[in-house]
Amino acid sequence: MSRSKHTRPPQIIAAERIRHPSGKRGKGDPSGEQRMLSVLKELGIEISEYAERESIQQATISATIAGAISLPKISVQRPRKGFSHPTGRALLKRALLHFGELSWYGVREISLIHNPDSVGQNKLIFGRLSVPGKILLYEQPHPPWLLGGLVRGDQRQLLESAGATVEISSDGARCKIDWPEDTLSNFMLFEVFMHEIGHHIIQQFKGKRQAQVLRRKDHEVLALAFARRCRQSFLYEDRHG
Amino acid sequence: MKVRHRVDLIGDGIENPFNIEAMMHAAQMFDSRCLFNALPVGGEIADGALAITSAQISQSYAPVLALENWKNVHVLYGYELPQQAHAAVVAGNERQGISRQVACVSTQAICIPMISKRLNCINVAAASAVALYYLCYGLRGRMQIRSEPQKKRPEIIFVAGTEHAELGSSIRSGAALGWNRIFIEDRCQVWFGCDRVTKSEGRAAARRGRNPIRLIPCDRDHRYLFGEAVVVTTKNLGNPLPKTDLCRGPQQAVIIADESQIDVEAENWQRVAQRVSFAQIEVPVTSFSYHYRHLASIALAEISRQVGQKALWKPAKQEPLYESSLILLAQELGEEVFLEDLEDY
Repeated sequence: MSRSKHTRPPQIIAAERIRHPSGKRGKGDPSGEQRMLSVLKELGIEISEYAERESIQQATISATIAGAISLPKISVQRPRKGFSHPTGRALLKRALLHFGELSWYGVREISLIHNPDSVGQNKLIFGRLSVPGKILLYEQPHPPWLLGGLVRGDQRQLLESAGATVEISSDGARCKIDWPEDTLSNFMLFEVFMHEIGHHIIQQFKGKRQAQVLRRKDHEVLALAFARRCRQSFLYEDRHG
Repeated sequence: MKVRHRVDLIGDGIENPFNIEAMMHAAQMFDSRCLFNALPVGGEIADGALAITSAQISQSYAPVLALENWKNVHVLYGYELPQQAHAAVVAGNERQGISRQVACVSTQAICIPMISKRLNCINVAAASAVALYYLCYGLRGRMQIRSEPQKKRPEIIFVAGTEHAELGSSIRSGAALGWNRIFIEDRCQVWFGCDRVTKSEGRAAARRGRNPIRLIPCDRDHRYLFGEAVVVTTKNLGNPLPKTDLCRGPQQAVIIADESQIDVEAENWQRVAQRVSFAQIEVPVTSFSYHYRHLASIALAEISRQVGQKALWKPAKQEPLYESSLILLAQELGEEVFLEDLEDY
């Protein structure tokens, strides 16, 4: 099946735009190279096509190594006493580099900040995506969490799948959530951060970034699926090198 | 009906003696005093016109409200005076507006919102009457905001205007407040079948040079098929004007008749619409000098307020926000305690 040269997949577009943020839209277009080579051939100058392509690829790789491709700004606010940021700046960077340009193309800022809403409300906020491209990750209390209420069934399932242990008190009115080892860090990285990145990717590649492009329910389902894929891919890579 | 606030009217540099007289009568209608700053020297001055200087205005009144069509000023509709305020509303010269001296002593500025793009003001005496009507009775509702106000605008029928200048000023008010056409039942022949002098004076009062309003002559024998007719009167008939729904669109006709000429009760209004009701312009005094432009302008201003205008700004678009959170089903009364806090304790 043929494909228009203007409908390149998001992975390719994201990588190109990040490498050449001010470049023209046709930059790196193979048909342009072809045209140039044919003009040179007409003039009697012969350049090996493969040599040309190789040089372009080499330039890209060296730019990556030199740090010319910049990640989005990650700002960290020092957590309050009794709280911490389970995912640090280094872990976020590592994850972004692992998942490639697609995951951070269009992300303007990632902020690890205080969580002013967490006290006195019947919800514990982990993270937010403020469209377009601002991701907020909130500090979390040190585990175990003793909560004055029960968690919803689907959310309990999500927490348990991420490695948390959820215990309900004998009176059935409170619950205790514990996070053994690095499960909280992984939860914040995949089920929160990559989940928000999933929302961001849906918004980013629809061309209507300021508006909600899908029903909220569908948005959540796709973001959840994206986060799961990321978890599998990252942890597999981690274990198997 | 008793007035809620005492508001005096001050004319600043008014040139036309007819306007001076009409302003005095507007003040009389609302049981207010009318004073003038910088009366024309050597000109014809109406009997009983009292003078006041800008220094006296500043000393005697608080707040002093400048009635002007400046930008970013308070809108008259919905403007509330402070309790027990002794306020004055200042109307400026017909051409140049309020003088710099009086502007300096005025504490606030208010405006009557003009809908027309070509006329940005109405007759000074008519504007004074409108301002006194809204300020004396207190809060009467704000300017409505609608997406399509034109669909809510009723048709206006001016009936039996006896004075060409009064009718002209009323037509000017109608055009400035947003009407594209007005029906005129010219029983006294002051607009359509009049002599040259009357015609030119009437057209001048209506600012016909830049007033694009369409005037449709109609006869008392004509019958109309409006769904509803509302007759505006100063008599104690029907609901008060602000409590009457005057924004039912073109199927509604609002009849503004010159009550110095006809008795609105005795008139057969069934010829206009099957359903007829009355709307009363409340006036605190029983006897006053009748000016058609005052009553017509008050009625037109109230209809214009109810019809409203389009929003001058668009609400900020809410950007989508996605959140990951843990929602607790039943929150127990008490406080969340974290392990760290307990250890410290």
